[in-house]
Amino acid sequence: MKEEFSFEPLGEDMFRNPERRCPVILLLDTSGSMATAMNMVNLGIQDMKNQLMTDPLACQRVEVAIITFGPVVLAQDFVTVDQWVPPRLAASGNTPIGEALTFAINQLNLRKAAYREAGIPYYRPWIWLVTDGAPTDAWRPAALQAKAESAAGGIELFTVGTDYADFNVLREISEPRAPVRLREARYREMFVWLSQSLKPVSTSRPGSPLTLEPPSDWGKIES
Amino acid sequence: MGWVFASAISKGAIHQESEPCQDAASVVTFWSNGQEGLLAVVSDGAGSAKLSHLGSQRVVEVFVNSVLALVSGENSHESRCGLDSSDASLILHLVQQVIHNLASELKIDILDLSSTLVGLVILNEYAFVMQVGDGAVALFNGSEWVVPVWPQNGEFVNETTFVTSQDASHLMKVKILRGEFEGAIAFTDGLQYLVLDHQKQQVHQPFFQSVWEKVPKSEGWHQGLASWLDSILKSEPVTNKTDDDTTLVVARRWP
Repeated sequence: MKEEFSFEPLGEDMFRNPERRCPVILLLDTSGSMATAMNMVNLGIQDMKNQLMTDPLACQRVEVAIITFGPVVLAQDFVTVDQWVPPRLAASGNTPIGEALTFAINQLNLRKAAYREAGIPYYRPWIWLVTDGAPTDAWRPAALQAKAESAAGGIELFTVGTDYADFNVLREISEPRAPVRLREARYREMFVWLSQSLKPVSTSRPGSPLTLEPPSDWGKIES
Repeated sequence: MGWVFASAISKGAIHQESEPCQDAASVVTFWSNGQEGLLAVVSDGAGSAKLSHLGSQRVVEVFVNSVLALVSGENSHESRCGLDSSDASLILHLVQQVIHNLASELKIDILDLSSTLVGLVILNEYAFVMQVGDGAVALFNGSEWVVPVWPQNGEFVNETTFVTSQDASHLMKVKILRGEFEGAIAFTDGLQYLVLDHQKQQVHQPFFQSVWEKVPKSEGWHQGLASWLDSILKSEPVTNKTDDDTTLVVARRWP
């Protein structure tokens, strides 16, 4: 039985727009000692945006928030990369890593609740902590909270320190992932690496393990 | 009239030219106790697993062969009508056995064959769905679309269960529905976010309606329908929204 059969594919409006989000918090030390590095950090953040913009899926899915310390400030609430206008960060104050970390985890949990409310599927969130010093607050409770979140598979936590950072503290926070020691203020290379690493994550499918390139261009893993 | 059916599978942009498509699917009709039944299955090989296309192919083969052995033709017992949850457990067990054997044969880890399973059987006044992982099948009961098992993803979008997962038999969902079904549309996870409303947990009507009304009044495998489904999967409205493999199976019986 032969009939006329239309071969026109379906139009755009026949499909849902499958939004999904890959939340990332840049948890950045902007204490007074970072003053000389801030220009590089700001340029690096801009590089990160530019890199992610070259990937049409990543720039719609990766959602960036920036939390600076200290004091702990939400310098930039979550925004998808295609809508992102990176703020210009300035340095001042001390290094309350503990408070900053707790604040970041709380922000992520709020964000996940908002995704669930809106029915938006999401990837495992990343926290990217960068510091040039040692904590000036009680950081242990926050480290325990972070470790518990990582162990439960709730977050991917990365820590990066300059030569003056306390790597014993960073090691405890980011366990089981080792912290990375930044080479010669290569913030820009670091942010480029971060964006390159986020691209495959934001399109990964069930069963894909997290695979990362070695950070050799900008850092050394402090295992 | 009997069943008209077709399927299409399209390789996602995420794969290199040389890499195989990891989705697999099958749709066939069979006779059981004097009635014509329909069987459909889709399987998605895990993104990470290098040989998971072999996994998804085996999942599809074993499902088809098991269902046919259980309910079709001369082997089907007089009183037998459809499958139940113990049959689903048996089928999953067979799938795992075959995957396990293939892994030993190829000397690879069983996880390299990680695949999902969405299986469907429709008879008169009866439908059976068994599912491990994501992807889904939607059935049309003459007035509305029902999704008996919602795609099983974890908290994160890139997490699901596979037939090879240790807790697969525990996490498998089996649904037996009583009532007359006009047909079904099944798909893997590459398409699920485009055609399901995850917030309302219901189908995206415009897609299902427009596909459904195009199904020709015919019988058996319909190449025209298959080509059309293939063109949908390769069209920009789909490829702009997903870089994953996509699979679409459509089956309808006209009154």
